[in-house]
Amino acid sequence: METEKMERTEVCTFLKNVFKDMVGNGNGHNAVKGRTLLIIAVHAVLLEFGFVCVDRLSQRKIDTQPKKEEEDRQISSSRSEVLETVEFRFQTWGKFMNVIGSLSKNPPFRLCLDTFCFVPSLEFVYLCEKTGLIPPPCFMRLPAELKLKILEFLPSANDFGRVSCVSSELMYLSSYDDMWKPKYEEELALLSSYALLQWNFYFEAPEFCWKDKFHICRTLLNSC
Amino acid sequence: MKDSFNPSIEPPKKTVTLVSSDGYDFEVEEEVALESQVIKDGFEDKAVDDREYLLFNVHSDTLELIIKYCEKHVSSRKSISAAAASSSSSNGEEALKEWDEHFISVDTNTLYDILMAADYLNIKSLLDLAIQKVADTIHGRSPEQIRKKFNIENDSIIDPWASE
Repeated sequence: METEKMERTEVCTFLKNVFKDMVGNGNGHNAVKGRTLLIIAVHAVLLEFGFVCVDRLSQRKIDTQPKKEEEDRQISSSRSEVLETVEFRFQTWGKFMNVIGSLSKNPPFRLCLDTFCFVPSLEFVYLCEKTGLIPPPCFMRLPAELKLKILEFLPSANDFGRVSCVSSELMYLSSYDDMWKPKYEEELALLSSYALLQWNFYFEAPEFCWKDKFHICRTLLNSC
Repeated sequence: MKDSFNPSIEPPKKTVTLVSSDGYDFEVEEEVALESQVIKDGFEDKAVDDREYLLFNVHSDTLELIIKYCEKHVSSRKSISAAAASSSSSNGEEALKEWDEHFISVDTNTLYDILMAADYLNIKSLLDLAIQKVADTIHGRSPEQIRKKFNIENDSIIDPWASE
């Protein structure tokens, strides 16, 4: 979980830096089309991995930004020390963007990117960078203590169960034991005094956390 | 109740200036600003002519809403206590609850903005109101619906609900 999160933020900062360069170069004055951002992002990833742009005819190294609003294009990239070239073509196919890359004479590989999926987030990162805005808050970007508070406000314990299935982070947050205490107390109030006497041992036991106690209560209630 | 209110007897209202993150000044009455626990905490130590607060985390759009909320709460608290003093029955609290409900019925982005600002300014009643609103959105939804609603990626290793 840790590494995954780190990777995700790194990708975001990486893109931010790429777009920051564009804004800095004065390209940012015009509106940049979403698809162009996608091309730039693919391009930037290659450059990051040590490829350099070469002119297809002269085989000389060029230093360019991908041109705007050009959808069917070719980029030759090569690893400088190996001198093998990868040729890239971008095709727009409805809402998909096909990225076709071929290494020398090998059969090409194809990557199909759903622009509806990628472009909004790219545009978003780009816009935030261009205007210097902080991205607006959304549920997952709320600070952890506020997320915890929201979970505490959930009216039913069943909601905890459902929330914990949503993602690993929410699973971690909803396992916070103090949250279960009020839920346990609610269930306890419903138990008959007879059952309470009979099972008192469990409720007094220090080795059980609130969540366990809640579940014991639930089970007892269901069996009554 | 408002008829008995005579502005000429009241001392001039003290005001506090709140500056939003985008540089707008909001002049509000002292008691309205004091709804925020953060402002209240350091209030007495500040010089009277230096009562200006730079709220770096609060945009003017959000600040406007927050001030509206605080003003409403201050004024309705007054009218409720006045009604209690004159022992006339009033449904002030209910009306305020209704007003709150209407106030917090905003789009999601505004809701999170209010949530963050209320946390930043430490206005407990508003924070609770906003948090309850988000919790209500989660309540009763399946994990898949929650993911869709909040745009959350499923990275759980185990999905105990998958089989159901």
